[in-house]
Amino acid sequence: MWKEYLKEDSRGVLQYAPVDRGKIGYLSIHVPEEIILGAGRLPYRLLGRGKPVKRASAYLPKTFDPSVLDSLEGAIEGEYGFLEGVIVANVSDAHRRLYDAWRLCGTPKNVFFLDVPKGADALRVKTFSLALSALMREMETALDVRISPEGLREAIGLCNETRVLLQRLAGLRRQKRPPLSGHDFFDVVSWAQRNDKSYVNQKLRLILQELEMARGNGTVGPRLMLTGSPLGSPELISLIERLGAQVVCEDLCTGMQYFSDLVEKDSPEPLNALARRYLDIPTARMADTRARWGYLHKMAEEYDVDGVVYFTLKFDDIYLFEYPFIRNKFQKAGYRVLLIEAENFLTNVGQIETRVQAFTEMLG
Amino acid sequence: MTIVEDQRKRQREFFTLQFQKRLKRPRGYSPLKSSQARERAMFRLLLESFREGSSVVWKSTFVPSEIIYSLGAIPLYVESFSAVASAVDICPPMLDTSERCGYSRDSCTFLRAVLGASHKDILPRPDALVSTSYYCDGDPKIFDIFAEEYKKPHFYLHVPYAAEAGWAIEALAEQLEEVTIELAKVMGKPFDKERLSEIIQSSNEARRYLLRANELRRHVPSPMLGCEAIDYIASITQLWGSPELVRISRLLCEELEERIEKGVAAVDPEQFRLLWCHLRPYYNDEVFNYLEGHHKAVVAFESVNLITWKEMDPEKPFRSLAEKLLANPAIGPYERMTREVARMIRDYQIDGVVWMSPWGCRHFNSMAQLVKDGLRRELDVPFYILDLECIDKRNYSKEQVRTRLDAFIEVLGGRKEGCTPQV
Repeated sequence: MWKEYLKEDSRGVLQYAPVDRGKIGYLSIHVPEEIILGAGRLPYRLLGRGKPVKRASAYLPKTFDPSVLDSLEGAIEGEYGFLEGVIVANVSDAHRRLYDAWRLCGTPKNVFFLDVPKGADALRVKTFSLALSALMREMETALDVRISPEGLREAIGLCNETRVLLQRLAGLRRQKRPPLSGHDFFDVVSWAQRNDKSYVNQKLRLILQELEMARGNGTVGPRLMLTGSPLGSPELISLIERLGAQVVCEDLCTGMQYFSDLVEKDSPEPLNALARRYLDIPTARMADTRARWGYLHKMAEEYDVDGVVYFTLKFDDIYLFEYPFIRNKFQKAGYRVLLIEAENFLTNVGQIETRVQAFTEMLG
Repeated sequence: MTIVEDQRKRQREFFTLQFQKRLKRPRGYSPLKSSQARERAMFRLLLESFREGSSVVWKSTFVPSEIIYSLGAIPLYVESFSAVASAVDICPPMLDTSERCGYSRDSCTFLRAVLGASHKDILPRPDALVSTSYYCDGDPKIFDIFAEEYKKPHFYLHVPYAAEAGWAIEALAEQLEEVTIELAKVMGKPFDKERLSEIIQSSNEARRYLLRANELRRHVPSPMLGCEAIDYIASITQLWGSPELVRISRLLCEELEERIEKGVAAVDPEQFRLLWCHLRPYYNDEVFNYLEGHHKAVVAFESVNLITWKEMDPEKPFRSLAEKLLANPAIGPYERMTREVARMIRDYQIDGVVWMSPWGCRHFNSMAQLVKDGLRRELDVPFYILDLECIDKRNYSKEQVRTRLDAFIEVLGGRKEGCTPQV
């Protein structure tokens, strides 16, 4: 029943979203949605097409983050033409070059760039505030709007509410038999990132009402944590769950990282509050490995996982470099870890199935 | 070959032996005295960093050595350790080790070699680590992992992408000052601004000589082989701020002036002038020897020797260092790099560009096609993207590389005769 709320039209947009507001696309969760909302636009997370690329390879090398190549392909093919603009963040080498290539050959033509430091201490927060301020000025000029502190505060309230509701929903997965699968949860988070926040909040409350009362019917197989590169679709989660395990938590930017913390609400300087929160997201790109390990370990304990699946996209250096360190830490803490390296769509399904099956049997 | 030796003294002896062998290696050319002095200075720096009691700061590419010298510490540019290791042929076991530890063969070999060396504990141990957000994602990540493993502090500098924005200089200068003061605490010394000012002056002096050397290299025929010149990596060398760099660069100028005066050409007869972008294969000189010796195509200039920053103000060391870092064309949108490549093409009367593209280098690989297309819009110069590895000789295929270079040189030859399209 609750899944009815997630039904979308063919472009992935709910009919309840006000039609008079333009949409601004963004690729990274380090981009504050509040700024887009403050500009009177709807934030729309680009999650990829999950198809092989052709034309993007004329601009960027094939030995490159496949999700970025995928986004560029979509931009070249005009698949994001319904957006008024897109914000590319400096979250990796690949995204920096995506910004270059998108400006050359993609649509929409309004391409904004947001610089994001890899640290969350005072000076880095200050630098990020300056970068956010520069982004706002650029958006104000391009979109002919004014982004006011009041508008930002209102957006912070709205987004915080979404975060709290998603945190409650995620909390249900701590149950021995969670009332929703990892696949379902992924769908909810993706949906929340692409729709009008007021509408999302309203529907999330209804979903919670239903699921908080429901008795879990999830599987009793091994409980897994999924961590690593961005996943654009729940394909991998479905595969894991089809094989009898359940993904009960995920450290993914398309998963629980999205609502990891709240923005300080009544800050006299909303931009600084945003800078602090968006640098505090414990993604792998941040240069604080100790904090990241602490976050991952806490998640694994809180969700009582039996094992960890570490997913990396090919050529996604941040995760390729992080993996051995995190694997060792998990192993020392008594968790088994399975590494899966793949494209942004599953091409080697049979091989992955065999490995996941062996892993779940081992955990069982 | 023992490279798993755990004692510093034995390691120092091992490396000394390797470096001596390296210095005495047979070369296809007579090196300049300044080049030999540069090699010795680099090896000495590395050996010093093994010495008991030395303070060593690991740094990534763009961390200014000046702040580390000002604290009486040794800047160890760890990626250059990989290059040295490759040159003395101890890299394959380091890479094998990193692969056994779980690091992907698709990622940067400079970093993987250091990871392997760290695992074998053959690196000088750091007292602190400093990384910047440029060039690449890998540096801050692995520096943080090293910091955890060595239980030493890691300081990270965020270099603003918007290098030309008004706020970028102040934002970076503040971070540089903060890092310097924190490093001083780690070293147990007060920060001495006067000492930093002196080091900045020394850095300025070396810069003036190296700029002069770059000017001298515009001479046709070229007075210096690219094979030799590329090792100066003037834009990023860890010798910035050291008195050695002043001596070396002064000597380099004198030698180049002398060669020009005497009419000595590095390649005779000089058929083509090439611009080489990115670093080089460190495990052998074959590619350069083939281009410069066999094809008489001199590498007239290299992007890594480009000096883009202005003279620093010793009274404002952090602001000046921030300006120096931000002047790097690798920061920001690709148009900045394209602009500089176009300038080098004009300044050095370049016939063709070789853009070296190692498999695991996301930063440089990803810019190749964009810069090539950008240049095409304003200049008609052949641009060749050469897939070649800097560190890992295991994937090197001499004949394949030669075949590709032959094709490129053929294009250049055809253009001189006015009949071949651009590649």
